[in-house]
Amino acid sequence: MLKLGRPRRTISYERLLIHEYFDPYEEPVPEYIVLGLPDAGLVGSIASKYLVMSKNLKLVGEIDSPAYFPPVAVVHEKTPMSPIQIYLSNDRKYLLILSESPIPVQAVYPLSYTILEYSREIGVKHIISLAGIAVPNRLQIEKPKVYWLASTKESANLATKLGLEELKEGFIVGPYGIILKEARRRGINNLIIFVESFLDLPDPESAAVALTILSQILNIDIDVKKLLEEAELIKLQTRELMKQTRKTMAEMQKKYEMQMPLMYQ
Amino acid sequence: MSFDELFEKIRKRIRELIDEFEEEIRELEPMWTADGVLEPLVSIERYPDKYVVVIDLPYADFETLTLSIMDHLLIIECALKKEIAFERWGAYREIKFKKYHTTIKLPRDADVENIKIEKDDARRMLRLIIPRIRRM
Repeated sequence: MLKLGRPRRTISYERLLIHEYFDPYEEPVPEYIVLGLPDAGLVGSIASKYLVMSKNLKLVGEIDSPAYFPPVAVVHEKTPMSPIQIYLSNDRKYLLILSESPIPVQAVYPLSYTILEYSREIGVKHIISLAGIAVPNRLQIEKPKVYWLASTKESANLATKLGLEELKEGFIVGPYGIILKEARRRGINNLIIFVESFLDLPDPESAAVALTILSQILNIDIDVKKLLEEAELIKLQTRELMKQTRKTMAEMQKKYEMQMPLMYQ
Repeated sequence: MSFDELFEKIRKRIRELIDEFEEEIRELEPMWTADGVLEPLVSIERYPDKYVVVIDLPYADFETLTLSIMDHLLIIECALKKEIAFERWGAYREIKFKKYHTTIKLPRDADVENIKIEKDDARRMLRLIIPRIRRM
């Protein structure tokens, strides 16, 4: 039996299509959207995929675009679908958007705007982005540090409660950066959790740290023991995605993130 | 600009173009072969005095690790702790992966005689510190 049939609704933003297989307005409306997009160390991707598997999240939507995405279908349990999928937790507390392929450079702005529009449309309170922040000496670091950035005071409150360190200066390259700056302009709550990671090698340990922080923000249990136990297997399985993401990051000038901006104090 | 300088500039540019072309070709290649060989991910950091090469070798059996150098090509081979098969490759018949193999083209100023090797057994990662030769 196929996992998905025909969508209940298809919404179009910025030449991107969101296909829904659920009713997003049904009570309780999800409070959070968690984002796991391919980025430094695949921190967001690994963390979100683990969350889907460990919490048995329900596939409820896809994001696709004939204008911006390569002609790719990913097949899961015999069902062809877009590499960008939307999942819902069983208690409807949060939606999770993950991508199984890198976001092409030309799709970064439209996808970012689409996620923001969609979150506003269905009345989500916060968008939480899970990201890696590359550090050159990652192999020498036992316990990766966590930083955050927020678009509004409400989102900042989520992180300050946890006593995490705020990023003050720097560059953020890719969809997370676009979502954050546009969320600030539109008054949408967005919090990015940055965990120190490798730039271009998969980093399940940093993904585990990101999930531990997420569990505190969402007030849910996430047991990362299995993620750490299976770190080698995860690294083996995510090599191709990391290689493709490395190419996209190079196109986006990801190494900017390791530089100080011009007007630093 | 003298003839020698112009010649050197053209030679350097041709080398860069060849490197870029080779890199493009590598990007298109899959990271595995049908006879069960995996290509590891490699990350290279450049510092003023050295290169740091980090090689990710999940499931590697470090007892079988070999590194050899031939004309600035670093060749790395290492068997996996056990043979691994993925369902995803089912369409290509039953492929069992047995070892890693990769060739890394080192920069011209890499001091290949003095490479320091560090193994991170827990993470199954290798760190190579390669000094850069200072040119006058």
